[in-house]
Formats: sequence, structure tokens, C-alpha cells
Amino acid sequence: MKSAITALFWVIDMGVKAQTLTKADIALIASILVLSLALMLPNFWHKNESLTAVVTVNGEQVKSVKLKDLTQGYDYSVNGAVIRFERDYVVFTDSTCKDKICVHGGKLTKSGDTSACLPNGVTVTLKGEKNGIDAITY
Amino acid sequence: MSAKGTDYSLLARKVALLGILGAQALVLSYLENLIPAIPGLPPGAKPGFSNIVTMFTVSSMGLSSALYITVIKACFAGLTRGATAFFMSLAGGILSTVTACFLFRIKSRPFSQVGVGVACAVMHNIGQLAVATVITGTVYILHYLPLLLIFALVTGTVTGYILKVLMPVLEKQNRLFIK
Repeated sequence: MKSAITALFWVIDMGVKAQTLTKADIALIASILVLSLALMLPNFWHKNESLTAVVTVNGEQVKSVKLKDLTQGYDYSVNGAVIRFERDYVVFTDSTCKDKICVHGGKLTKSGDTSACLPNGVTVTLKGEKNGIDAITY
Repeated sequence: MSAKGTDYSLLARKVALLGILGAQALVLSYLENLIPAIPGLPPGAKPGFSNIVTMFTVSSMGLSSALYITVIKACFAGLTRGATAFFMSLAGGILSTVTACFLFRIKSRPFSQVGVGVACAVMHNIGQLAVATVITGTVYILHYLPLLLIFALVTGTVTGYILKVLMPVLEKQNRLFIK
């Protein structure tokens, strides 16, 4: 994240030195930067409250797990994807899709984290108590 | 008779050039798929080097030629990675090609190649996210949007800059076919 912004500034600096960047370019980059930072603000408004993992298949919710209630982790297989629920995280452990992009997606640890297996239509997301994050209904 | 002969010859040369450019786009997209997924970023976020070819085709040969390349890229993604990849590549590609055409047609040329590269990358990502939202049927996938936008800024700048550097080479390649 920070490396991305550093990389961005370095690239812009290189562009300015080479006299490639116009003012319109910088305006475009700046506005997109501001927009994405604004979109990230809701993520910082929560504390570590109890997380609920929600699994949806093709748009319909099929499973909801309160992570704090788990005494031990378990695997859950749905529509070709295998999801592992633990107290601290949720992760795709296997899938029948060709890419296995979902498995490489990493662990979901905080509210709002999402992972999806698109070919199988499975998504997993962590929701907090406040439920403020899925209000992407501007 | 000679006029008709000239037209066909030009068309054939255009087709050949588009073939070469399309092959270059495919090679670039294949190579960047070999890069392993970076943790923290949504897997599938790739530096869009194939956009270099698309942007150049839009600027030198027009929108319809560039759309051919976009469709070829999407078909390639569909053949090697599955139907989802086809739709995502198609959506992102069409959106970014149309945006590039739009930006290049503005008379006063306010954007340099870098700006167009950024816009291309951003629109490509937005198109892909839109398809992902439709496929999964949830809104949660949009959580990827902020991080993806920032990543698109970086890759778009790099892509645009590479395009600027490669411009003379690509134009020379064009001149080999289209006098």
C-alpha cells in the first residue's frame, strides 16, 4: 500500500523530469488518488469487534459464521470451493477452478475483507457489527 | 482495375499489421500472467502491458482496428483461462479502448501518453470489477476498488511512459506495412 504510493510518486517524478507529464495528466492522477483514498475511509472506522463470515453463491447467501464462536477451525465445501473458517481468519483452501485465484487471495482478517472464486460464483466476506462497510450504495 | 487492386492491397496490409500487433498484445498478456499473485493485491491485478499495444492501435489506426485487438485478447484469455476471464477481459478491454479513443480525439491533446495510460488502466479495472460484481451477484467485491484504483494509477503511469518511449519503434513497424 505504502509502496504503491511511493512507486506512484517515483514514476510521476520520472515523468516530470522527462517532461512527459502535462498538467491534465497530473490532475487526472491526483483526482483518482483522492477518490480512492476517500473510498478507503469507511475501512478505518471500525474496531476489532466480532466478525461474521458470510458466504454467498451466485448472489444468494448460503452461510453465515460468527468467528468468535468457533472453538476450532473447520472446512466448508460449497459449489466446488473449499473455505476454511478459523477464529482469526477465513481463507479459500481449495477450488475446482482452473486459476485458483481465490486460493492465492490470502487470508481474510478484518471486516470488509473479501475473497471470491468467480468461476464457481462463490464469495466470502467478513462483516463487522456495524455493517457500515457494505453501504457502497452511494 | 488498378484502383480496386490498390484497395485490396491496402486492406491486406492492414490485416497483416493488425495480426502482428495482436500477436504482440497476446505475448505481453501471456507473459504478465506468469507473474505470481502479489499478496495484498487482488490476484488478477496485472501490469497492463498489453494496453500499450491497444493504445497505440487506437492512436494510429483508429477505434475499430483497436477493437479487433481487444476482442482477440479477450478470446485468448477465454481460451486459456476460462469463460470468466473472457468476459472480464472483454469488458475491461472495451471500456479502456473506448476511453483511449475518446482521450486521443480531444483536439487540444491535454493528456500525454501517460495520462491516457492511467485512464486506460483505471477503466480496464473498473470494467473487470463490474463484470465480477455481476458474476458474483454481491456488492462486496467492490471492496477491491480503492486498492485497485491506486494500483491502476501506478501501472497506468508505467504503461503510458513505456508507450511514449516505444512510439518511434511502433510507428516504424507501422510504416513497414502502411506506407
